[in-house]
Amino acid sequence: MLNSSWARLHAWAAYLLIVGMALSLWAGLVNASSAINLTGAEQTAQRIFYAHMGTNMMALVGFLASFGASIIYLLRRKLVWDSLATAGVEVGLVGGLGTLISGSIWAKPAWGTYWTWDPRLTTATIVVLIYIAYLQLRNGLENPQTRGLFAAIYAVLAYGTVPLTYYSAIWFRSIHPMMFLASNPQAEGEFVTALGPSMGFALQSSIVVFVLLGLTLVALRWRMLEFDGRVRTIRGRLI
Amino acid sequence: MTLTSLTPDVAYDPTQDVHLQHYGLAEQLGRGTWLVLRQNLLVELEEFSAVVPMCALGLLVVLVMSLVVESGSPSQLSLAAGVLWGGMFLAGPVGLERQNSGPDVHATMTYLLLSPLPRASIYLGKWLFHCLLMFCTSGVSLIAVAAFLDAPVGQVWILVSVILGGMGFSAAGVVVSALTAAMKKNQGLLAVVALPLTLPLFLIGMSLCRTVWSGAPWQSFQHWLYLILLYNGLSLLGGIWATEHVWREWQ
Repeated sequence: MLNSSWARLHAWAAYLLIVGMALSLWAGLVNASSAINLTGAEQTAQRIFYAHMGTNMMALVGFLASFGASIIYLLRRKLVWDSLATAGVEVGLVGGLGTLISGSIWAKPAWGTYWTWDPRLTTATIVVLIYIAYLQLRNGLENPQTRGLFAAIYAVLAYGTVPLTYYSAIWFRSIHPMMFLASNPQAEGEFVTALGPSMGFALQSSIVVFVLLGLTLVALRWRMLEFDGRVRTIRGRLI
Repeated sequence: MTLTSLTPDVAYDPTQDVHLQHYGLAEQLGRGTWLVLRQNLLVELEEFSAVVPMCALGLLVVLVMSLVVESGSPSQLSLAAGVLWGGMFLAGPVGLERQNSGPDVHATMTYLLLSPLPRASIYLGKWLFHCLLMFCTSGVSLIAVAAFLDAPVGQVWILVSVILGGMGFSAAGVVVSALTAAMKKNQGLLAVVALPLTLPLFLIGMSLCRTVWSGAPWQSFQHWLYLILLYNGLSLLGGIWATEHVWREWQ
């Protein structure tokens, strides 16, 4: 994992990301048609939606990586998987916070307020809080094996709340728009069916680029944590 | 120190412990759970070190939160649901903290883990004990909500939801308390780690009470009950699985 072929792969992923991000920005900010609200006014702020969905997917990638790595850690008990789980949570948190912040910025012109106690918003905040608690739990444990084990258990239990965020807008009365494969009569529109071709392209490119960004960041952070672990081991031997 | 000074005051009969192994798994679980629950109850009944602070905190939370609710406002009952569950959930971690702190806890756990009890029964015993603590706290919170906010707390589905909520909170909380108890610097961390995990239950329970108090029929709130049951089932299964790993680490 620490060898040069990985470094080369990361470099290529970075180049691809630069191109992809530029394309995604162009698709979302320039190429996509403007959204129009019920009064016929253009909604420029809606363009943040592409980043909002993208960061959400990045969070999903991070938390999913953390969940998978935690299960493998519980089966194999190798610290390398614990590092991957941590990297996943950290990247997932960046994505989760990005989703909340971009959503709040969009909510002000769309709903007239930065924040409302909508179930989707509330459950998304809970997920972020749970993973912040995960990092707190890790900080309180000194033995790497114990830390890995307890963190893995917590991560597996915590992941149960991630689907809750998705289903919250279906189960609860939500004004948050539905995205995929579901409908809610109280929600403000269903984007996938309402999107035109230019908007659809912007959305798809944003999702692909942010998923790639999430994967790259997880891999880079994983590598950093592994290096950090090696440095600590060497320092422990020397002192 | 001579060997005689290590002799316990009460004659120890090892067959009392090992004869559990003659039973089937279900009976072993049942008996083991009862033994752990009984041990926790006996310790609690000596000092009431968990139930009193929990009930006091639950009462205090309801009192403080009731101060901000305007009497007679149309949203009073809706807010009462939040106050009730807030009181229960903020008091819950106190019991968990007491259950896993103190100088004797690690020694007690060591003996429990050395005993032939099934590990799941240790979790189930602790879970049942914390359920009882939560029922006491919920009772106090219910009375306080009825007194301060005129909420009709005697309705069957309110009582059912509160009981199920306490069970779910305990199921998740006991796991988290087992995780944080192994830490050296765990002061205050239990609430930080446990509350986000149990927040979904808080939201579901609060919505259920709000719907019941709005006078809606059974069809309007039955899905909340199913969600609480689902949360409880998953938490219990997750708890049995997780504590097996955690306690192995304690040894």
